[in-house]
Amino acid sequence: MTIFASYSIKGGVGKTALAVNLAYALREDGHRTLLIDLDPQCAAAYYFRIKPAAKFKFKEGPKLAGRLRRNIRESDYPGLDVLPSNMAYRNFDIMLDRLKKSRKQLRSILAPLAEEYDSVVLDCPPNLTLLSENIFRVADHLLVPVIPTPLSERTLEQLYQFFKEKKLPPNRIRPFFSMAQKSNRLHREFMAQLRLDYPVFLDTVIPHSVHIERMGQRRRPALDYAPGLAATQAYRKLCLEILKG
Amino acid sequence: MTTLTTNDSNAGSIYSLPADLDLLKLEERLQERFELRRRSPARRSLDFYDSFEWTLWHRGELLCRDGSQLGLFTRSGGWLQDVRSSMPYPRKAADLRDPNDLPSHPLADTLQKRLGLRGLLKLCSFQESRQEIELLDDSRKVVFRLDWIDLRSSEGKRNYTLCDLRPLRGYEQSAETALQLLLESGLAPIDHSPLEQELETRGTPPRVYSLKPSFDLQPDLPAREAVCLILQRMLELARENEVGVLEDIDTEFLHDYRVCLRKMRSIISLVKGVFPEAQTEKVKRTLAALASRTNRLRDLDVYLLEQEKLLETLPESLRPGLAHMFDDFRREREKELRAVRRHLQSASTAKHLAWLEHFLSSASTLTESANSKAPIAALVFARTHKRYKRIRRIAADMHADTPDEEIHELRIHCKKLRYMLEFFAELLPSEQLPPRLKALKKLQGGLGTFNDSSVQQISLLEYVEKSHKRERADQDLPLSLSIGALLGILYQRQQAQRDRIFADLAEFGSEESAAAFKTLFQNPS
Ligand SMILES: Nc1ncnc2c1ncn2[C@@H]1O[C@H](COP(=O)(O)OP(=O)(O)O)[C@@H](O)[C@H]1O
Ligand SMILES: [Mg+2]
Repeated sequence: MTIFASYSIKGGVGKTALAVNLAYALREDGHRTLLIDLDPQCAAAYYFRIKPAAKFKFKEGPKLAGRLRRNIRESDYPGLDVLPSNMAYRNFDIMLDRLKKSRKQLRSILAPLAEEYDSVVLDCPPNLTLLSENIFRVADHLLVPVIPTPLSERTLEQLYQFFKEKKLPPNRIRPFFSMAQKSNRLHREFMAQLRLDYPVFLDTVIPHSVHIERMGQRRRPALDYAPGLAATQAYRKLCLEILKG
Repeated sequence: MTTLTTNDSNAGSIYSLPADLDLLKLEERLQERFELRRRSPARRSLDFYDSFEWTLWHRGELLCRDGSQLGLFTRSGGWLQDVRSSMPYPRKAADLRDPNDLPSHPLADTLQKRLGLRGLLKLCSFQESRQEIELLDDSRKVVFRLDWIDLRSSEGKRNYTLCDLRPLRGYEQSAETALQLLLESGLAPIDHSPLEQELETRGTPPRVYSLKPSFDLQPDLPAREAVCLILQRMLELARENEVGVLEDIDTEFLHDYRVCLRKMRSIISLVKGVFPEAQTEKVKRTLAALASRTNRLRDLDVYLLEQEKLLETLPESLRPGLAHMFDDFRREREKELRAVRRHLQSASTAKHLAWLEHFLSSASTLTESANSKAPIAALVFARTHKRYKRIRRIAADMHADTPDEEIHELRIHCKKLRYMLEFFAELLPSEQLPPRLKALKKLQGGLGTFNDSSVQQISLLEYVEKSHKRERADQDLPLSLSIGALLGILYQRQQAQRDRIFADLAEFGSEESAAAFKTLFQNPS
């Protein structure tokens, strides 16, 4: 089971858009896929018309796993399931903090899913907390959307710093450009500069596109309702680029 | 679920519909609780395949081709459930027969592993039109699927209508509501799928195929009746294999056909005196006449099946020499197959078979013979035990210098013992027989390899002689080199078996083994 996390310290950078379309692309590639919405905003499940999960009490890893599993919903696309979020996730960190091995709880929660799924995609909330650290420890690929603006470099820098402090393997971090505007000269220049500073950037760029923006109204993955467009195809390309390694 | 291309993990289940229910009425009913969305209807043809032995069916699987895809499914009842694996299979491509002909794909590997030497037969075909209906909740999220399926069988043009209900994980509540409405509308789980119905109508329902059938024997059944029962059943089995030989579906058909005839011949030699002498002789002659024309074809099958293994034993440089030989074998096989087909369809074969069938069904009216009335168990167990003791004596006399011929003779004795144990297995204690059979099979394994290696050496030499006569000087040298090398390998392989055979024999003839055989025959069940 391969775990992909869509993560950034910042909000509004395209994490959920990536998580939703990546999960869709993985499923199209034949993976039995589970999309886990870890953001109490519940946006990922919203794009699949799936309602927030029922309320439940947090328990330790293995028990919690069973509880979460009961909340799994099959999307409209056979082979792609969604574990919707819940407002209670706001308390995820407090819960984790109370537990032993608080930085590795997520691993034991996800482990039992390996029988059922080839791929798990995590849509993460935008902060740097105990939950984030759990995510960093469990994700095989930490995909970080970066809007090509100067501010983004600072947050990327922060992330690498955090990995260094916590002695986490930095090669799991895979930044990519999100909402990039070809016609915007500053975007172009800044992308070139960032690629020099961080050669680990993925080649694939997710462009800014009204078709992706429309996901909110359509409530479907953009790859489903606009499969033929270069902008949506970028998600598929990105998926294949990560899978190729 | 029945789409070949997705990996839906929901267990589908199929339901029958009452005659007066149509799709519109059903939709009306569902609309009481759900918003519905009709997908565009889809048509495709479905071809179902399995081996003659129903290998896949018995594993709980179905192999189905839907125009462009070949899929291996789990079977639920008698219909498609989840797809295990699928691969592209072009609409135009010929019928599927030999899984080894499939392009390389994990599914091809799986099929080769499952089927072994067996080929695939088309069981039946349907034209399917499918209307998928999605049941939606208030966010227009799909919460349940229902496929209305019309099937028309290609042969016989029979129609079947059914519904495939496909719940979605996490929407159990909606599924229950939907199912309630559907049951109230008269839907009922199907216990006999269209596939099963269709196969039954055609007289080819799934069944267990075995060369070791049960004969319903009783220990005190008069020997003639018992032998007739066995012969009749074995003859039926032989005849079931005829079509597969004629159509050349796989090599197992001819193999099994011959095994049946051979077993028939041996049982009348082994259980002596159940028919008058002249009749016994005539049955033997008839069986020999039926089988003999197939000898060469079977030999060629064996060589060709061994081709890869034999080639692998040689260094790369010597392989092309042998390739010519196998090409010759393939050509000869074509010729032999035509001859066997003619033989099977000939008037004389028909006459022989008719005579045999008549003889077996009327044997009770023949005059009595020495053992015709003897209770079968007592009669055969005394003899079979004697056979074991004989093998034991031969084994005791064997030593490093025992000539090959004696090992061959031992092999024949073991074979006869095996046949008797298997024919009359149902009369022997069911806990005691398996370990004895296991020991015997182990011994026969070594003897079999020993014999095969020696037969292969002989036939290679024959082939060389024949090809020399045809004076193909350009090919002679490479061929001779390859065959020379192969002969050496086969000879070594044969000799290497001797140690193994002696070791197995020591075990098979041990005091414990002898005591076990004694009790086996003392306590018929
Ligand atoms: N490539 C894109 N082009 C245009 N709009 C986008 C793109 N990606 C995301 N958006 C829009 O930007 C907003 C924030 O995106 P989202 O994926 O929710 O970010 P995050 O999860 O990081 O907060 C959403 O309204 C979304 O529709
Ligand atoms: Mg988000």
